[in-house]
Amino acid sequence: MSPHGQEVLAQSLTKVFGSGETAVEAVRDVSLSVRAGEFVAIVGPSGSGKTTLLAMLGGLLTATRGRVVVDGTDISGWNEAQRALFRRERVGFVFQGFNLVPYLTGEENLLVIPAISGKLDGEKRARARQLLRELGVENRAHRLPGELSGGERQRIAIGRALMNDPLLVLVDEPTSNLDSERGNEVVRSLAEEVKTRNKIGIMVTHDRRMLTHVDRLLEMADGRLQSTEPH
Amino acid sequence: MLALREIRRKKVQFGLISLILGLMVYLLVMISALGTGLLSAMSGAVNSFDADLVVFSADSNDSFLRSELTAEQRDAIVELAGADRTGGVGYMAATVQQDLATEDVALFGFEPRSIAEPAVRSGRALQGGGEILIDRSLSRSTDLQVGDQITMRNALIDYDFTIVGEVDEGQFLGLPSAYVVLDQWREMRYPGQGGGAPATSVLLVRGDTGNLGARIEAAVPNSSVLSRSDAISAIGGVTEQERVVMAIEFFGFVIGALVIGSFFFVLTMQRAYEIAIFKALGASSWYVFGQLVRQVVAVALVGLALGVPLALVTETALPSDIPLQITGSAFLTGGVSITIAALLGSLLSARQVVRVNPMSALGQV
Repeated sequence: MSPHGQEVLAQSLTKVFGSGETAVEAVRDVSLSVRAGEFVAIVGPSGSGKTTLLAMLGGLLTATRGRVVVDGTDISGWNEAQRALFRRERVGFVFQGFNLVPYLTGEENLLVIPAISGKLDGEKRARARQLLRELGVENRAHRLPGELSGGERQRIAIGRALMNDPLLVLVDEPTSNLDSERGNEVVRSLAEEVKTRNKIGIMVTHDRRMLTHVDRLLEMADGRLQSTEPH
Repeated sequence: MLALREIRRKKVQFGLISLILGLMVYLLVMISALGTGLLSAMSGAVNSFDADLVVFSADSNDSFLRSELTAEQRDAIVELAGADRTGGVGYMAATVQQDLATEDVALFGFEPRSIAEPAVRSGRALQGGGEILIDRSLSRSTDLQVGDQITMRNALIDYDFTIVGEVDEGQFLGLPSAYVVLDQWREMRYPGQGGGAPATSVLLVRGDTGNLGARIEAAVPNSSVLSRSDAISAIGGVTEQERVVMAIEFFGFVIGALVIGSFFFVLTMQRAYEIAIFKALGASSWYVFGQLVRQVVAVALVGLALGVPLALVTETALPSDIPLQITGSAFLTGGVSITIAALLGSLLSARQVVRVNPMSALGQV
């Protein structure tokens, strides 16, 4: 653990997809550190490596080189089973494409992680209802994703990410399907969640209007972190 | 329980999958039932013998039609095996007549109060000549019933019988069977020969202890001893028929298993996206496998619940002259093999799917 408390630390992270002549270096030698209670945004053009970096920090992808240290533990060498447990217990993802389970209702989608952890109980159900209420989709709790609007699906996905009370909240384009007002509200509530519950929040976004709520802005281009500026 | 919830939400899709699985089980059960029924039609009556060994005359080439044991041979075998463990059985083909209707039957003569006496299901046991027991296969294919008078003709001589009971011993050589006492059978089989006629066609022996068969063959000239199952195989055409039936069953099971296995393989592949979501959220591969197993077992149970009654209804609905015999093992073999094939198809495909990084399956990188 860092002297400041819990943090996620990336050291010289590089990710290469493919091999030989077709090899693509998606992330190149990226180092960063985000402390608990901090909400950081990564911006950059499409294909700049933002999502790949996010996936490595969350244990969804393994780095080709470099290491990721979360809360003092190096997860770089972990096998898939260890990383699965890590994702289940310590990471909350909001994917760009929502990725809700299509045959489960909104509320059931929030309960997926407790279900796969074998920890589904009344307390978890109550938390799911509370999150749905906070996100303003309580009345859509029993609808299937196909019956929800893009914004409603996005809020369900955010609820799912917060469901297991994770240390790391990793968010990929959370406002791409929301209008400006609703997007602003969602990012503000994410930032609030990160700060009040002392989580590590990292958000990838194109939308610079949403940066008012972040503590720090990181820019990526061609797989490299260009600059770090306090916001 | 996410696996079962998915089934509930996709009732039509999983209902159709269950139907396909049920129809495949039905097909396998029917193939197996036809094979068993065909074999039973050829040898059911012999399979019902309460015996471990069947003694033929050696020069008959182990044929029920040609075998003839003399009184001396019978006595010598009884001496070796014990009277309470033996029973003579005679066989001949005959024709039953009632009014203008005729029916070919396999007529067996049995030694009364011996192990050869068939168990009477309804009516009473034979008390002497002029009485006959008919098999259920005969009463099903005709209108004959206990109390009816019938005539049997052999060598231009008519023999009148009263049906006094019904047995359930099965058919022989594709003919329904009927039973008379051995003396009556001898009179019909060897008319006018009196005491010079062979005593019986074969002798049944129960309890193959102390290498009894070999001792009989050594001690009794012109005797050949077979186990009951070998005696069945020795019936003309049975071995060939068994091989054909086994080949049909084998191909049926292999093709059925491949169809269902491939079907579930493709089905699971098509769910790669949903599996990737679970993996991305931290589900272990074992969790994914466990959910798939639950679904396959649930679908298989529904499939069996459709296929089994369908097979039973078919058995009842088909005419009695179609040799169809559904057994518990046919259901077990059909159900288990199809379920295993579905599981293998699903798990092999899931093995491929869980290896793919969920990020790429979700189209994120």
